Amino acid sequence: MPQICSRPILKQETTSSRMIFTLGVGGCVAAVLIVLAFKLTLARIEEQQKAYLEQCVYLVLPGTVAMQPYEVMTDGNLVKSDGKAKGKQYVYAGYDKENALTGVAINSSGQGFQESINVLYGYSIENQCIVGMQVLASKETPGLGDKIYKDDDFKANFNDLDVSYDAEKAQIINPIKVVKKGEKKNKWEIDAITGATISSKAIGKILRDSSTQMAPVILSRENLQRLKERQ
Amino acid sequence: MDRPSNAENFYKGLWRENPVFVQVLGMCPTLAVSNSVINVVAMGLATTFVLIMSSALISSLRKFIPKEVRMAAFLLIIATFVTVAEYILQAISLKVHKDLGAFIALIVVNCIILGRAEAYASKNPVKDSTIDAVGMGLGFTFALFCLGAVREVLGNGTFAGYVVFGPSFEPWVIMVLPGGGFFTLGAWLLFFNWLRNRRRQGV
Repeated sequence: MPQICSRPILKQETTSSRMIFTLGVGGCVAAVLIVLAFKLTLARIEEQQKAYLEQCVYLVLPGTVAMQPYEVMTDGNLVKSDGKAKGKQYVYAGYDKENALTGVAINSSGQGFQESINVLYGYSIENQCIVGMQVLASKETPGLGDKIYKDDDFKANFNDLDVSYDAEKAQIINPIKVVKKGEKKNKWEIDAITGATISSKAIGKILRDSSTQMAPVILSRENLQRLKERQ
Repeated sequence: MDRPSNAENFYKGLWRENPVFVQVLGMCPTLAVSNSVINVVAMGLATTFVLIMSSALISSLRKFIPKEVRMAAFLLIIATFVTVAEYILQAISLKVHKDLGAFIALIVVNCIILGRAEAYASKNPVKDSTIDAVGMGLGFTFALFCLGAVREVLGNGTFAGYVVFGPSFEPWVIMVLPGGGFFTLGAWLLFFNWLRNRRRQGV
């Protein structure tokens, strides 16, 4: 008798509730694992980030050999600190070999193209300009947005970026402006990265907002005296 | 069909079915982060970790995951381990984590991991799946290392940060740029497959 190839009886199709249950349980277990990993590594990561930030102070303030953290109080006063307590805003004063103030390194962050970008920039009090900028943390697109810390032309924007402050009008005279690459004419402009406009503008905005907020604080008579005398 | 021995199962990932030189999978991280030895070792180990953990877990759960949602379940498992690996890497070295940038997160979509999950781990017992994962992961790391060593030595004059040539060495900068990645990969593929053909011909 010829063999009739018959299809095997189909297994019962999986019910929706079974699928939802499997993925639901999977999601819960995944959440637990991720939070566990986060909590266990948090202390060490924060420690490393602090150490890295302190290294970068020397990079953004040329000529600095020693630094002193200052806590920014809510009343606008700068208070000498060891910079270790969490949840407080700090600025870092840099001093050269002769113990003269080289400038103040300020930490700020803002929304980039992908996620938040965290930067440290050096502010020179004499020239009222930014003299250096280091990207501490970024998740910008590799090959495009990540040029904010890899492209030498872009980095050169921050060697002498004017943020002069007018104390009478209580505003930055020329707020930082991001222009198309090659169109930079003024000292307060930044040449953007071709193909990474949003990341470039994000850096411009972070520096603009931060310098607007911090210039009056740092340039106030009392704070300037404290910084210069390292008190 | 004879089950391959454990040793065979392990070695196939290194040579006969090498994910980069034979299967040509995982090309994106292979080209992008292979410009220095430290980066390739970190990337290779991170990928191997994710591959082993996810293969083992998927294999142990293969009878419970309904086949209609298997891709979603695999990706859920893989993404979890990638997140854990990223936190671990960040805790070990902030610098390497920053150098690798977004590529750690991109391990989730590395074809090797999903490929092995679908082709092997979801159909084989835990022990075999784990051995397969170890072999594939090390094979991937080995391939990455071949590229990374050449690119760093020629493109930067260093090996794992140690200066190899004298101060008058002019680095071949294209080697650390994407173009150099393609050239080096092409050269290794040529060499590797020429070697395989010779062996096959029984020389």
